[in-house]
Amino acid sequence: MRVLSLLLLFACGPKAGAPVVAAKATPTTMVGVLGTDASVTVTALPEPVQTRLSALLTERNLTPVVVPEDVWSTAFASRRNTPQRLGWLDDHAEGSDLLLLVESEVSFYSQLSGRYRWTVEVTATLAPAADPAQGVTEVYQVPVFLQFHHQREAEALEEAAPVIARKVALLVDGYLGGLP
Amino acid sequence: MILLAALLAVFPAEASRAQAAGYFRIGTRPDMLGGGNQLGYWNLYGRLLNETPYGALELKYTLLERDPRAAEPYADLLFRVEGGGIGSAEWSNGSLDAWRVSRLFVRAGNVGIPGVEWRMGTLWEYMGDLGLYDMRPAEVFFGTVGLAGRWTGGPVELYLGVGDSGYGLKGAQYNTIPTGGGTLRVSIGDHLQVGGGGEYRFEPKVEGNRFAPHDTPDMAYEDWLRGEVVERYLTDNPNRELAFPDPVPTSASSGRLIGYLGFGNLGGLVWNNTFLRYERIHPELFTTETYEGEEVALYVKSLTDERTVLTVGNELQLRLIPDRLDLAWGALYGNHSDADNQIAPSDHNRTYKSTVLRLQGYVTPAVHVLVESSIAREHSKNGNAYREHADSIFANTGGLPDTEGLEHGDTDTRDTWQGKGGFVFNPLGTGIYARPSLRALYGVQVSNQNNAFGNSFVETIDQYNEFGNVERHVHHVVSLEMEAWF
Repeated sequence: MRVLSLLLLFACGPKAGAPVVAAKATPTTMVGVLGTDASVTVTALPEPVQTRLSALLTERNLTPVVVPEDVWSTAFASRRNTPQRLGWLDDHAEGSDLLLLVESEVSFYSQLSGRYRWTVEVTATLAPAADPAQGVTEVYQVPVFLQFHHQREAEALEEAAPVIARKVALLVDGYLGGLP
Repeated sequence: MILLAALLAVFPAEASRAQAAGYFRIGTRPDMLGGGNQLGYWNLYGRLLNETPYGALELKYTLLERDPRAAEPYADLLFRVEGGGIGSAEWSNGSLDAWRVSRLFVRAGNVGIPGVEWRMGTLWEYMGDLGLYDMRPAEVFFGTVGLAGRWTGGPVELYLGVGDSGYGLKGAQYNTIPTGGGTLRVSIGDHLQVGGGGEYRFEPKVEGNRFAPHDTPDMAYEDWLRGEVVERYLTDNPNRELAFPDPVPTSASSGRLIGYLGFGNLGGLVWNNTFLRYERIHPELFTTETYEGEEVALYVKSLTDERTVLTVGNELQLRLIPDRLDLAWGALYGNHSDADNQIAPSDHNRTYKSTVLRLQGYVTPAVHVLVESSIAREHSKNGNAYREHADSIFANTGGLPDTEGLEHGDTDTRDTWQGKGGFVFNPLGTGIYARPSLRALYGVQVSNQNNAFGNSFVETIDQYNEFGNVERHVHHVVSLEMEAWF
């Protein structure tokens, strides 16, 4: 019983690293991109991932403005690198102070330990709309193990969502914390 | 792998082309009852608390990057080292002898036939996994090296390959075993998948090659089993050692058929996997007998070529209360038959059936409570194979000791129940199979077999046994363990 109490105490304890909150509500244009190494076609991040990202922005007093997929998907299919996409986003982010671009490329790695191992490569960029070149970028890989063959890129991203959200949160906190 | 890591340290630019993946588990299970570090003998009772430490490290190196804009060739190389040698956690104490290079292949696409991804090297593939048992019944090309192609067209995936299983099946006693086969999987909407496949292996007759299949003529199965073939021959043919029959070359074949059915994505039903395998096991090459100081090889293709195994496995996963309680249920049936052996119990003449149920509740996203139970019955088709009692020799068939008998114990059936429970810490959140997983567990096993777990007890009941015999049917362990993949 004592062990259970200790575990529950540990589980319910306060979380370290409270989010950095913007001084004022800050409109933030956001695009999340799902790409693969097999096709130029890009789509939006799965809804649960998108929702997580929006929530973490809201928590920091940033007002997410999610650009619909049909607005950017064709443009992003031909623009394959971050600066070009950020430039395009800046042109379509009227009224926003910040730009958040989360690009992912999902690829199958191999069968490992009974699972399907995927790699989610993420490039997350947060930039001031006034000067996108001053943005900060974080690039990282998230290993994902899916149980079933029918689970593909979208499921891999959903599985990676906790890590992606955590990394984006750190990126945003770092940026906001450095503002005057 | 170590060399490659060193090279990447020297040439960091290359690191962007290399990726590492892996799986590791380690645990300690102090056993006050004299056992090793497993609750029971094997995974039939569920993998949990019945597995030993293990690790796998796989490196992928991109030789030629894939360009999504063009159908240009691409290629990568995969290389895996795996094994159970983990220092301070198992009997070999981390010996590198317990590790091996298990996979090495190059995967290449946009070469030759559009839409086909080629694979040259080791070809092992499986159609899915029974996670509760850590078993993969529907697999092909385990131990085959060769060339395979995977074609994916919409909902259809076809994997075909040819190669050689000689080293995979026979190791140092290599003789070529050409192997062909594949799998076909069809997805029907988002809720159903069916598949099947198989492989066929043929080992040719090669005169003069001592590692090719042969038969030593005129061997009685019982004599071979008892190790009395040479003795019997010399009894029947006194002073004719030099006339002992020479082995006769022959060919051998084996193979398997597999099937798969998967369905799910329906409300709380996450997915259900059903696997089937029917296999004819590849015959053995030879055994040896020593008679009056001389070792004689007995070639046994015809005595070992009628071994078959039917395996059916199922695993169901349910989300009972979203983010609060998940369930996984598994069942496994195996039927091993050896038509050559009608007289003695063996692993090739048995049936087993088992079911495992696991519930995992989430106190918080990271702290979980796990309970699992399993029940299993193993039955020997050819008489007694298990010891219910420390003095089982006195409880043999008919209640009489039979020193010339072929039985191993006093019962032909082993019944096992296991219960497990404890706390799990999963930093990455909910999910029965979310990892990493740090677990503090307690497990109990009840078996009709005496001391049904790995142990170092002295089993002899002769008068010189200084340690005495122990009769025990309940076994407990506690476990602190970790499982992670990346």
